[in-house]
Amino acid sequence: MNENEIKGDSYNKETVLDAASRCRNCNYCFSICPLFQSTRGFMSQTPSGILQSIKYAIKWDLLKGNEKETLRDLVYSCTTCNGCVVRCKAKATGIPVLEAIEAGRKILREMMIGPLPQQRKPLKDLLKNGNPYGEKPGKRFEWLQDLPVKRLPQEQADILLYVGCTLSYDQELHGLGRNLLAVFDGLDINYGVLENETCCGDPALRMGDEAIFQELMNANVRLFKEAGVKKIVTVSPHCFNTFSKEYPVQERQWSVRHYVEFLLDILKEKKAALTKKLPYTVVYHDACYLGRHNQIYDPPRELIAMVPGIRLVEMKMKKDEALCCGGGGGRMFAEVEEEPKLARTRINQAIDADADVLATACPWCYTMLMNAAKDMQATDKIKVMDITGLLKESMDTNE
Amino acid sequence: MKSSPPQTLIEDMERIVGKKYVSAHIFERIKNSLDTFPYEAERDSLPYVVVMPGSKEEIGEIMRYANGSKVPVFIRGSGTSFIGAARYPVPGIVLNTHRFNAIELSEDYGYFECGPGCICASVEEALKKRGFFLPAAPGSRLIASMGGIISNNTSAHIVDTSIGKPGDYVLGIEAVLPTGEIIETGTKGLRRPAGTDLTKFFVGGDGLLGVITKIRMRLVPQFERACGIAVYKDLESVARAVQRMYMERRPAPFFMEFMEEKVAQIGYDLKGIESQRGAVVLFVTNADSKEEAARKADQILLSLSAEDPFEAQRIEDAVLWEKLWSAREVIGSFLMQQSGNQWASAEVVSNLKDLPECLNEAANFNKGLPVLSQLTSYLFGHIGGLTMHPGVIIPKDWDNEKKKKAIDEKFQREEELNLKYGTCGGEWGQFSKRTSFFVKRYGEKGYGLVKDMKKVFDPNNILNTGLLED
Repeated sequence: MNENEIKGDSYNKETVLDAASRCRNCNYCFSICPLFQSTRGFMSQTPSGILQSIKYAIKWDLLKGNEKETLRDLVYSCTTCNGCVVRCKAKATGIPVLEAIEAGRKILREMMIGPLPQQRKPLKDLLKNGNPYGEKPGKRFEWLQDLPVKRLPQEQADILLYVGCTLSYDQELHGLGRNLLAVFDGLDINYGVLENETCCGDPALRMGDEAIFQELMNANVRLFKEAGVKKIVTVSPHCFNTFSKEYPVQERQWSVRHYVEFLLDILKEKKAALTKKLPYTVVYHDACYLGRHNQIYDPPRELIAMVPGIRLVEMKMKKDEALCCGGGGGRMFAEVEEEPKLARTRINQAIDADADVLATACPWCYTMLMNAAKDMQATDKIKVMDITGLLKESMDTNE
Repeated sequence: MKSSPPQTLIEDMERIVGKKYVSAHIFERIKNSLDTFPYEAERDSLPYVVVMPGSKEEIGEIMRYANGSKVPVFIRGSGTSFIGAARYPVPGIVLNTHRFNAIELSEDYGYFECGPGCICASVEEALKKRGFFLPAAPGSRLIASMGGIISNNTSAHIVDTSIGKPGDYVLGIEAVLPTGEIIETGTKGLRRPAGTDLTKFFVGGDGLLGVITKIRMRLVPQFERACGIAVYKDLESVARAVQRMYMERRPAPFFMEFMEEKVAQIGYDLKGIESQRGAVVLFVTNADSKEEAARKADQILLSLSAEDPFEAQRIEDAVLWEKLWSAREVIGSFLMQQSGNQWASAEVVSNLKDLPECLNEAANFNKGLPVLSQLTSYLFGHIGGLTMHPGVIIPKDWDNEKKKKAIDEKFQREEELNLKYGTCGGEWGQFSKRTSFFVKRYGEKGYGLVKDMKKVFDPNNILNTGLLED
């Protein structure tokens, strides 16, 4: 262990202990926590429960004991939805609960206790292949090889469209990707993708591995510089959050936006591009890393409402109270106890809102919700779509 | 009572409630040993196991088992007690009521039934959808469980003289006795029993006599509201205005809150309210119609205006009212967030006659106390209920013993004041940290009666052991 790592471990422990010493155990955070709502309701399966667990593991020297794996399972079960932080700020002591839980993950990772067994391969794959799915880097853009998309740095473009790993490697999402490109093309946006795009590092960070995150971040920063990138638009809220909050400010020689805000601004000037009326009742699912992490609540709604014919409704839990789909915090790569499945609950909430389309703006939310709708055999009641699908359909004059 | 658990305790619990509803790992046991007190969990009093039964029969079996093996059982809702009732003095079985979370409205009977694990806010929401309201309003509504609310019989922020306590609406309950038998009390009618009603032993029973498994409450229609404010130069004027309100036979307010000037200014600054400086009274009236609620508010304002306020008026601007009300609601959390430390407050209750003196003493709550006097005291509360919550911010870096001392001093001063004014806490329950008060207030004989009653229901002192001292 080198000096820097020791310092890091000490910092992470201090982060946990400071937050826990300010936690009042008022338990208000339970009321918004998706983990608490989707488990049996034991008190350790809550934000303050996890926080106190890490604190006492440190103070009572339980990190080396025979319950370290229990601690790992608790700490890694958090979806990192940020609901606890919002609730604590509004009603209680305003402590950085999530930062402390993530510091706990780093402590566990450092001690080789974390991550969850199923997350170990994705972590290795991140280091080896630059994506958590075990796919070869060269296959990243196979899905758009027949499309006239510019490749940076060989070609020049105003906007770097940062596609992300999930959209690139998950065949189920390639249609979503094609919709997005069609919208960009339809709006005459001068964009390109990065030839050697690699993971932004979010999964590594969420699983507590700072070293792998650093590797990925350094690779991206180097690629962005080489390509002269000035403006980045991301597909995933997770990439957006990572670039805008986790990369050091001094390294950011570019601005970054998620596509909902980017397209909203353009469509305000080019509203006529949305020609076709869509007779849908649409409900929007707030992605945690757009909403609670970055307070982007209204732009996706405004974007949907710009589509002629659409009636926008709301679910029972919305905006800062929105229910997480269950896919964040590294949980896309592990089976975590859920009863009922959060995504299924969300599908039911969308149906209860009398919507026929559930719109998302996050590839992971899309995957989680789509799979839930299929499992529930509810695809005839509710259609899960990315917002880009709605925009594409309204812009599509050929249909 | 401190005992060694049977070696097969966990397996036995798994047999009763099913493996998935038993947790014995240390982290679950730690979290179940914590409450809102700022000091540390203690390793030698951690519970042995946490169980989550799903039926009254399972609870009955747990209680019989606990009696047989002499292992204490502690009922746990959301663990939000302010008097130490959720900080168990000895190890035992924690019986979590989370699975008792069903709510059923029976409009054709005129009541609703809910489990003790239902969260207050969820019950409120279910009732509101059908045009009813819950006659309890704890600040912890987002997480407080109905079992806790009923066991304490707390209306919380609602003024008792307005609509009474939740117990006034409880038609009956179902409970498992500490010895394992299941009983039903009360009625399915809308008239509560005259004469002996076993319901009363459990509603406001501090969890001493049984595990409530179902609560039946009368449905109460929603009502209209009117709001008002009065601002005074000092706390004495606040006290005299409230005395006037009662003595001049004005309608009782539904809510009536107050903040000393220093606290009000913090809230106003936070919410961007430009207003007259001073001690603030905020109130809400309730009635079947808006007009009647406004008339009640005007009646109250007649009394409030007679004590030379800077201002006293109804507030009809809903946005302004929301700001004013939330300025009061955010004080505790703001003070904690500003300092990075933890809020701890007491519950001082005055009689009507001595309200000016009591309010003054509450404003100087920490004077002369070795530890608490090192801190700034803040004052607000439910003045319509003659209740004050003087509080301090306890530094997180104080050592554990000093934090404990601070909490002990808080209860000591609360006890002195409530004894002096012949009152008692009206929100948080009577035992645990308040047992000493109970003995002094009602005498050894009174306390002995409680212990005797406990013994009748719970001969082995199995349930919530330690709430009463031996």
